[in-house]
Amino acid sequence: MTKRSLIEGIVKTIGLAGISRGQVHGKNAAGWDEYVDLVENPDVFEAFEFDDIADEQNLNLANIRSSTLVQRMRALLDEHAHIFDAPQ
Amino acid sequence: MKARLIGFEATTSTPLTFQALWSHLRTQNHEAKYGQAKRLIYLDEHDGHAYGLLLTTKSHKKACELVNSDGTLTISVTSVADNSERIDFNFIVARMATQKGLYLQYRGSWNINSFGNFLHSRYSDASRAAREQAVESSNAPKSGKKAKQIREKYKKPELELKVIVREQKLAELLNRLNSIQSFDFPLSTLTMKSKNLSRCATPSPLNTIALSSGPM
Repeated sequence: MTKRSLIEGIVKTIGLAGISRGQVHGKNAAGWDEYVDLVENPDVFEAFEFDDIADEQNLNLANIRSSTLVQRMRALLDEHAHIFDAPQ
Repeated sequence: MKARLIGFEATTSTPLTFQALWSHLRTQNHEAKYGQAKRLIYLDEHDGHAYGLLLTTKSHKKACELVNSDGTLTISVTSVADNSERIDFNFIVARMATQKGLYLQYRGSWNINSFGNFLHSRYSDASRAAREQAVESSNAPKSGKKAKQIREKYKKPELELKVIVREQKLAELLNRLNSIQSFDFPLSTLTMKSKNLSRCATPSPLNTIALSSGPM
């Protein structure tokens, strides 16, 4: 069995079975054991520097939706509508 | 330090929806007990979306800083005022219709799995209340067959926040490995419908699928 077919099988199984936790064990190029954890490797839709987002404007308790960060998150749902609008 | 947006999908097991839970939580006190830390939860709902700002307070008031004064390093200890607490924060925005959304987390903040456990515990409580309300509004005798059928729908309430893993990204990650030995996952997380079972790799009675591939 080739690595490619195994990867396709794992990815397909995860999608069909709705698996959100688990790990794949393999060997890296140096021959060392390596584990790919599904939880520790979630799909990152966007990343920010903490210092850029930790400001009073983003953390407005009186109006959460006024935060530019929240507005960015809301826009990302539209940009990835094929994922976030797809029925379960 | 990086703060990352990760995708999630909330699955619910009773007629109580994610939206109904969110509306219920909005009526609760901001301060929520969960684990050792004090949590403050600010929720909103607008235009078919759930919005949330989650704060976790720190039990310590002091922080240590390394100060470089013309090449001389010293440690400075700062402290917040008596009426202040250090906090970490998370944001959540989700589509109500599909129960899918984005969660902002960084090291030290409330991680999505722990927040999912918190939602699950609140979902269990809210489901029990919704169950009795459904029985009440049905006007059926409380110990009758109809009431039993209603209660059955609310049996074993479960809410799970599943992290979204895009197939292409995961494939890229796995492709970095030279060879693959096994794939482990908790059987309890399986949600596949039986019709899909034969289309997947057959799960072993154990929770490990042993695999074998050589270097490409």
